[in-house]
Amino acid sequence: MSALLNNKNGQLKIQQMIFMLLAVTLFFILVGLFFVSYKATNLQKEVASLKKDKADGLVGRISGNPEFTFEGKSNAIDADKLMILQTENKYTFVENGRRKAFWGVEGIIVRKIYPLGEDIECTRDNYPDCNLIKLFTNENSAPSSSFVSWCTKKNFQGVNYDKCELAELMIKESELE
Amino acid sequence: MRLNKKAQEEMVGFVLIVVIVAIIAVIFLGISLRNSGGDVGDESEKIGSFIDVVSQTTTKCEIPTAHFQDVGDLISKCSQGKLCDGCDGETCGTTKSACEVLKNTLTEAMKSSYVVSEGSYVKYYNLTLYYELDNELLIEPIIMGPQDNCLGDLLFNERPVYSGGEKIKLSLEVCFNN
Repeated sequence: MSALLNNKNGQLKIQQMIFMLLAVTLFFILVGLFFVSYKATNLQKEVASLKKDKADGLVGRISGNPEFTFEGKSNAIDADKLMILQTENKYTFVENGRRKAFWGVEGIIVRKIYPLGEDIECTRDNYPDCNLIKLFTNENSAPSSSFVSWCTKKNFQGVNYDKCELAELMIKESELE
Repeated sequence: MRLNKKAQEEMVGFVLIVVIVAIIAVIFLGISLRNSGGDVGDESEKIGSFIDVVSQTTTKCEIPTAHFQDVGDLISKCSQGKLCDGCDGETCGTTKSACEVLKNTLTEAMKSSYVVSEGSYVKYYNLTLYYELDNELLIEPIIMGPQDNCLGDLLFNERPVYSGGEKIKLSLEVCFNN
């Protein structure tokens, strides 16, 4: 009789343990599911944020590029150099049989924002009386931007000086390398 | 006695589960807080680079005539109480001090860079120029928008400008709406 009671008691304990294990496993599965769904909803945001970070880094690198920079000043763009580059109408070149984009961008737009004025696109005829330079693009704006100085050499009463104005550098990233 | 021991064992098991769950929750919270911190730093860097760019913007103030000062130099000239000899090719007269031109330039530059209006991305900004030593203001702060609670991202950065051994700080605070 006592052996039967012990057996029943043991069965009850095993049942209790199984229920407990099931409850704990179920709990961890629920926590895991919650975590995965949270991560999944944030994934798209993170991808967009990473793309934005990459593009922002590229904007910074471009403004520091020797082809754009004004006398080694940080965040300063030489407008004269940009006007020379404007003659290039293609933003891609072929290297080792592969198509590549200059500086990894599809378009560069530089807009003077101070002193404020109406948008006048720079051409060889109206430069420097203009405030918008477009390279490899016909669009007026691009998703990634950064503040830069729009600098040129000027002469006033026989004295040469550097004139820097506040501008915004915008780029559209290329899908090519 | 045996029943008592069993209850103790069950309690230990329960506490163990609570501890494990708490650890998981802390790790989860840590990960989400670390992720949300990134954007603030990035934007602050942008404000820092904006201050750098504004500092090298050429102003209309000529000291001496035909030598145009940039904002960084003008801050120094303003702290020395200098007057502009000319303003963009014209005679300034005694009314145009370096500080006056500095304030006008910064006000206009801020207006065209950060648009503050109803429903705009920027709620308010506050640009101040002060001596680091005693926090005394060099010019009146340039403020646009209502400076009450910032419910979006409040971002800040500052850069030093040196003037005859004194350190002047150009600081900018911008509140972005979400």
